[in-house]
Amino acid sequence: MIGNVICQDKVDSGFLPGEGQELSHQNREFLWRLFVEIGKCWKNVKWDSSNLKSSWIDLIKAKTEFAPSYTGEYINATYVVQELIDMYGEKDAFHKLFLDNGIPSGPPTTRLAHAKKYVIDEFIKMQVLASGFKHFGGPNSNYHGYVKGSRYTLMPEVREFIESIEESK
Amino acid sequence: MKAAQQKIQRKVSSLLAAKNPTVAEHVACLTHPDLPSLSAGERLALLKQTLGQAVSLEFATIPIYLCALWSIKNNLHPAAVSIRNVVQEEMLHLALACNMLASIGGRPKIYDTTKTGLRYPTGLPGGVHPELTLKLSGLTDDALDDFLEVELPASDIDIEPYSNKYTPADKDDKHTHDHAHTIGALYDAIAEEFQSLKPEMRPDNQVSGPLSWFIVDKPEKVESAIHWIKTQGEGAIDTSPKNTGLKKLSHFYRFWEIRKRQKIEKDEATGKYVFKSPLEFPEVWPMVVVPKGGYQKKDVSEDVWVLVSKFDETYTKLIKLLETAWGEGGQGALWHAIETMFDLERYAIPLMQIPIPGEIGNYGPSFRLL
Amino acid sequence: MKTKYDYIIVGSGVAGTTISKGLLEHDRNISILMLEAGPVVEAKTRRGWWDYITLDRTPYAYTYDLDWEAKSIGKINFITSGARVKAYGGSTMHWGAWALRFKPEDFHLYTNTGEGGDWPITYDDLEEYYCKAEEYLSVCGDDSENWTRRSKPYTMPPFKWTAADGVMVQAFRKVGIKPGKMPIARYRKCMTTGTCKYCPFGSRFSAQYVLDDLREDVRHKNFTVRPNCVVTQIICSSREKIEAIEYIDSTTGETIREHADTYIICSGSYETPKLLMKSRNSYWENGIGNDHDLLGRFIISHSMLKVRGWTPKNPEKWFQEYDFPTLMSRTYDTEEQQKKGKIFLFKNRVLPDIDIASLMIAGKTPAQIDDIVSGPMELELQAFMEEKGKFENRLQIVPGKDRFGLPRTTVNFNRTDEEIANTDDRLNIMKTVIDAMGYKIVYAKTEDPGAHHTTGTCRMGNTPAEGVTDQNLKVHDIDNLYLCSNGVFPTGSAVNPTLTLTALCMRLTDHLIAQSNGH
Repeated sequence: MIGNVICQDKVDSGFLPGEGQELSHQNREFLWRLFVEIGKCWKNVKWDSSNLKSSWIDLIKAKTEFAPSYTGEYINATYVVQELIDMYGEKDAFHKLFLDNGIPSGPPTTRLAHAKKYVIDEFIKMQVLASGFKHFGGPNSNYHGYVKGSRYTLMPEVREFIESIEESK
Repeated sequence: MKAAQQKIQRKVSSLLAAKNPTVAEHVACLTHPDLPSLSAGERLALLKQTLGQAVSLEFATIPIYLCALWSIKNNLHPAAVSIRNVVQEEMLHLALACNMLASIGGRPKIYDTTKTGLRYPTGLPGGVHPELTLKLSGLTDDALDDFLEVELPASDIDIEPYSNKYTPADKDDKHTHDHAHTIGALYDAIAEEFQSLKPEMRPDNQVSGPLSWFIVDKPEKVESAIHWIKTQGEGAIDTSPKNTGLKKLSHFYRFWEIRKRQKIEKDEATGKYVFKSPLEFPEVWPMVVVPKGGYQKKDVSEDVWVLVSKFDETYTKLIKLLETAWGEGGQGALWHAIETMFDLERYAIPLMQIPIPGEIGNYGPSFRLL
Repeated sequence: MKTKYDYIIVGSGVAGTTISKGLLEHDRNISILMLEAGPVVEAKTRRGWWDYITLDRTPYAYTYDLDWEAKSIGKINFITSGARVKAYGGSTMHWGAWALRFKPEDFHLYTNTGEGGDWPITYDDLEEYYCKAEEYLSVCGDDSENWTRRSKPYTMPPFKWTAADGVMVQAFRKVGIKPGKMPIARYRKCMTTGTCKYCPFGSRFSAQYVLDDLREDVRHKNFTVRPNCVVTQIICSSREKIEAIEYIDSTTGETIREHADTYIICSGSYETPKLLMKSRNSYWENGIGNDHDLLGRFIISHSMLKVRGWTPKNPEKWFQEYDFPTLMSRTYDTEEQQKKGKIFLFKNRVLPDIDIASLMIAGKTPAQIDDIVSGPMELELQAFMEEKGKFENRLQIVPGKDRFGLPRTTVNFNRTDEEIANTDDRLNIMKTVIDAMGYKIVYAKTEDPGAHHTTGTCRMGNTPAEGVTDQNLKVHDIDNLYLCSNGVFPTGSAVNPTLTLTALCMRLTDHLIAQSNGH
């Protein structure tokens, strides 16, 4: 497993406590940077991730302002990722974290595993549904969780099956 | 400090303190050659206020278009589909203007129950076109004439000569494009100032997704946003069908099709765009122009009042949600606002089906903020 | 607190809500007390939606039956868990919104086959109410398909077939099956998020939204809804008359009696018969309306038949783009098929299931994901098969209570050898479609029935020996007690019951209004 004393620190597999805590500005900036790295790793944003920020902010807000609070998990993730950056340098840190982290399967029992399950994995899900899915496969127009929005006047709702009149008889 | 610079500083200070500044005044300040002599803070304040005015302009026409849309009985009629496209694009323009404002730390202000707040009938905000009154009514030719006037392009109108009650064909049409030029100039001035001032632009309080195309966090994105707004709607430059194509007609030409009762098509022989196939005027609920101040409780039945007041409550909720979407509410608030927009129909359409006792015509929503 | 209501309605799902709406529209001052055993679960919350997206968790799932609360004791496992939402608004909080009419032959199953039951009403008796129900639920569909006669068009145009439907559409045609578009109850504000189970925009009909509107309408001064109130007894003053309802307020522990002129039990196909069974007294020793031991009997639902096909490549890189099927067929949902078992065919709503996020979470590189997306693909044809009610298949109450204070349940459900053989025959029909697609068959199987579409447990009938209620849903021999849930259906057809239930509610409402006007 990657990382050192922070990443490999053993913790309970239950939710890290977060009630009563708040994310600092620095925490948020760091978490956003972590999110942006997802798009860089999988190259699945068209220009940059800024168009996804309002969805990301909505996720963070919902996860920290309502019980059970994710604040503890988010703060944990900032320390975990910082240790990886300190150890491996920024580029390799994110590569290892996303693609080669060595976390064993099963409930998360280390700080690294917590960060992966509750922060990174959920950020990935959000990133994919907010438009990251568009970069895989064909011009699929819709995905579970994707909100079409203003595009629905200019672009099709989904990839439609169009058959000829002869076929339809 | 030179006299000219002092003059511009006084002008800007006065503008920032004014209760009802006009678009022309904002444009004049933003394009003043001595503007760069002001502090960054003053220029930023001016830019925010100007964007606030753009937001008001974008919003003001949405209620009148909505009334026209809701009055059409068959929401799949081509006229309804066309007007719905216009409404969606106006919402997009509104969102882009709000994004630009939020990028530099501003917040849109639409909820305003004071005297300066939006109340129908009204002129276009910012004194853009003093002769034009925006009225809440069902779809009629009179309403369409007003819509066409609002959306008049700044450039020449293609297809055939255009005239209306504001500029009949036999009158000198010098002013015809004035308000379009004014709105166009407003957006041009905004774009210029972003380029010149280069303020710090942050994505944080902006919204993308439904009804909002993209985040504006770089000056070049300001250019794109303004291009969208001008191509589709007011202040438009060259929006003739030969440039936009038939699928992306600008608002002016969409309304013109309904007014003319004909679809715009390309004549294969000449390559020109012409009015061709008939476009039947849709069946509508005969919603009359809502009187100044809206319908009052003492003047209507209990059932009508329930619909009128529920509409106003829902509209108020919608406006507050829209404002907060570019603040604490975020994207969640915008989603909620979108749902609330659909909720408006549930009160507006039944209202439009109720005849007004002793009058020819039916009720309609008052769009009052509570 | 009012001493006597015009109506007490037990259950706040689509049935209770629709009836309340109709009664209130007729007379805004009417007094209705609605009692709901479950809690209020908030809809459209941001945290609720994000948890659904990130954790596949919905805020109402905790109300689902646990295994110890509803047990299957027959040879066929009748799965109750996950089938019903015990909360304010009921199961339309989580339904898929498929909204299809029963067909005329569904009302005469016993006459046509010697099995199952007959309705004491016909399709034509219900047709005008189907039109109203479709408008109310905002059902979209394709009028040209003409599966059954209808006097009004659909409210909205249908969802179109997706690109991923195409190969199955063409296969349907090859084997003589007519492809159709699934009628779905969705409003125009649908933003196609595919998160219908917890729609962030409230675009899919849910009784909860209607109830909220009814409660917020200032004209409805005498409309009261009490959640967390579990009705434990129906009290009779005579054999013909219900005098009161007794319930426990779960938040205070208080036992309360309330009185009404008329009582309507809208507690779903499980709790409606259970409440009557539990309400024993000297007039009704076997439970109210149960002299002929019909309560809980004839229980059926739908089994899902599945045939999965596999193909080595997905060159067009399709995903399943909606959360509901867009392709369906009722070619085998006809009178000719009733004896062997009608099937309602539809394409599986989640396949091709390319979960991009899961692949990224598993550490796949972009190139690996691209390969997977365009690699082997599975599609599946599914069907609901009509079951025929049997006396010996039954739902019963057993000692003990569930977490909401409702009696615990057992379901004893079995099939005959002939029915099992017929199921295999239906699967063979479905296999021809997969073959026609040129896909390899991975499996063909029948899943155990889920209780989502349970019907028959307090069926209608012309006489007390044939049914618990008459054709107007009034319990036989009782003047002021009505039942309105899927449980009153004598047959289950091959399609989802909610549209038919809604139509019945509207018909019942008209009947109650006519009664109150002295007709």
